Amino acid sequence: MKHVLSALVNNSPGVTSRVSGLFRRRGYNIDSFIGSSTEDERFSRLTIVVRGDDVVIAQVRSQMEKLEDVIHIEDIKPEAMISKVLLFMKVKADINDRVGIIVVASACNAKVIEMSKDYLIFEALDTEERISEMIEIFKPYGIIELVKTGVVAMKR
Amino acid sequence: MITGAEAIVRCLENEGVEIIFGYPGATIAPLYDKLSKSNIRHILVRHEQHAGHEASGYARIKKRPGVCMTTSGPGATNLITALATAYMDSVPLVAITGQVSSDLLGRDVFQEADITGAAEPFTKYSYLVKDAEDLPRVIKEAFHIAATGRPGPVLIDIPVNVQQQRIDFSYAGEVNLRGYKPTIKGHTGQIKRVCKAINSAEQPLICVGGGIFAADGQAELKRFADTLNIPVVSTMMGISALPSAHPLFMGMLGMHGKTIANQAITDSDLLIIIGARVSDRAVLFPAHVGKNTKIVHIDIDPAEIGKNLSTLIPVVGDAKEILIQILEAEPIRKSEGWTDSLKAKKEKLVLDYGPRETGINPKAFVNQLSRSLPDDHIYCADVGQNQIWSAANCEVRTGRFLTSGGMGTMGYSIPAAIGAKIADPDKTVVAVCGDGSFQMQMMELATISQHGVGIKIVVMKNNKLGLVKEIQKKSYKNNECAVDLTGSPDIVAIAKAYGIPGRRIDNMDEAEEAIAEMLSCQCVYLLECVVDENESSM
Repeated sequence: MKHVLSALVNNSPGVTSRVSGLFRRRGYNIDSFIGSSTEDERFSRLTIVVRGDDVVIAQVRSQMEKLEDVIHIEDIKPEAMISKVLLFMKVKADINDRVGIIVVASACNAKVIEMSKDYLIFEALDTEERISEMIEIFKPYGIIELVKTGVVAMKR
Repeated sequence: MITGAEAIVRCLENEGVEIIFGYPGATIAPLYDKLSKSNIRHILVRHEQHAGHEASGYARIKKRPGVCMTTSGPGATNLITALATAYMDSVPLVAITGQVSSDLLGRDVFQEADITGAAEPFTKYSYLVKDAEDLPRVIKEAFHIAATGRPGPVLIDIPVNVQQQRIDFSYAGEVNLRGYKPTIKGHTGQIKRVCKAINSAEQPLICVGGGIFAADGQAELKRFADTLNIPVVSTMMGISALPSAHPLFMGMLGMHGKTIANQAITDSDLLIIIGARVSDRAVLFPAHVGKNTKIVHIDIDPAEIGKNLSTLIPVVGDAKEILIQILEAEPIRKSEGWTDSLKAKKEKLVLDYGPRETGINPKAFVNQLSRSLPDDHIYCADVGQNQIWSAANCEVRTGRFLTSGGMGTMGYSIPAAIGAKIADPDKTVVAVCGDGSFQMQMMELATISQHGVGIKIVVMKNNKLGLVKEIQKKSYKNNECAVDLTGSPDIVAIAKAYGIPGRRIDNMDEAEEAIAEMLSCQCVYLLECVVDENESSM
């Protein structure tokens, strides 16, 4: 089961390393890990997607709460959450494929942000599931490179 | 089907491992069980830290990775200082640690320690093996990573259940690591620039570090210096790259180095650094160098170049290869006056070898000791005043000078000497330490006795932590604190208790005869030398 943990932590050097080290040491599997500054410069927000059953997640939470730099941590329930992933994808597109690919992309809510004679670069902002589906859809055309952020999430 | 433990043993044999320094425990028991049926020799140490140091001494002489092995938890954490020591001095090690069962990882069970995490800053690379099928590949990669490029320690952490897991065994194929491709050959454009710099230099100087040994390039260094008649200084790790008495060798530089060597750095107009980090101890005021000095830096690790000194001509690659490449490009030296003047200054050096009111003169003693030893002897110096006395005064000829240069780890000399002697039993190997450092390693006297390792041990006894005392005298208004070693045992009696012969001397008149007695002894021998506590390191 996937869980999205949102943690408010001190904005000081080494905090990211301490939290990620805790995950490695205890063998918790991280799907994604995002750190960013917040409206208050004293704190940062870590958004971590982690897999595990309820016992494991409870352990993850308690272990994280023990860290001196972790101020508050929340396991956000899917129904109470808005979440998005940002994707950039470079897809092969010669003159014959180009139009077809753009049609498919716009059906996926992806935007062309750069074009060359051999490839297109798309940008898409969507839920994790829809981004994964989109990647599958584009595989047959030939993905040259892709990069995506982890999940950013907020409680409603 | 064989077990993971058997697979490890086969892979180690396949890597040509002949000896392992280690200490057993519960989580490494399956591997010990299979190891006992192999031809690989095991040396039981008396503390895990020394397993690492012994593997280090072995590796430096054998020119291949040394292997050490401990159990999980405290066994593994005790190894960390040795890993850090090897990491700082770029010594190739493969460390194997047992780990708790993989299904219990992260639960803080008995003797669990996150060793891959704890050792992360001190290892070149590390593995936590969770599937025995990965063992052949991991072990092959570990030896490759440890020995190639800039050498260093690699840690393999293996849970006990992975050692018991049954697998279909086959040896791993060629190593192919996408992110790891060390540069060996120097860039031809850079070689040309180096030649041009040499051609136009009036006062060139070579500064050699420990990298020359990793490249096995001592002969090329000598040819390079001789052909171009360029004087040479060394860092502490570079001692024995050239024989001490070589006319072009101006000695060690740095905080505890020779004035002539430091002055040469300041005066040179071209400094050719070969395989050295040029740390704070080597070049005290990096900002002062380089005003009029062009710097060429040859190193296999591109991250070292420009780290401590701004470099004009970086050359990344293997020191030996690059020296050959430079010589092939036939640079020409024009002015020889600089070399002659340095040689003349070296001749005029006054040595402080006179007698002392109490105790021996340690500087004169280490000089006499090294001159009495065979030309190819291996000299292991510990850390403290004894290291400074040794570095400045021992006369290395065709052998090696081993010490913990980067980390300055007390208690390195005896285990390093054990490893070196086992690597090359025909060589005379001497460990020189102080009474402080001796007590950090004296448990290894048992290892020596058990395995019949015939090294020579010299303990400089002044009843003080002498180098710290000197710092307190100089910088803390002579406030001597926590440096008094009162309570130390009778060192000769301790040796005797381990079945090791030895004697004590307290003046230089006895030195010659005592050294002769030590060297005539076929087995291990300990010589305690009484030194006055106010004897300074310089």
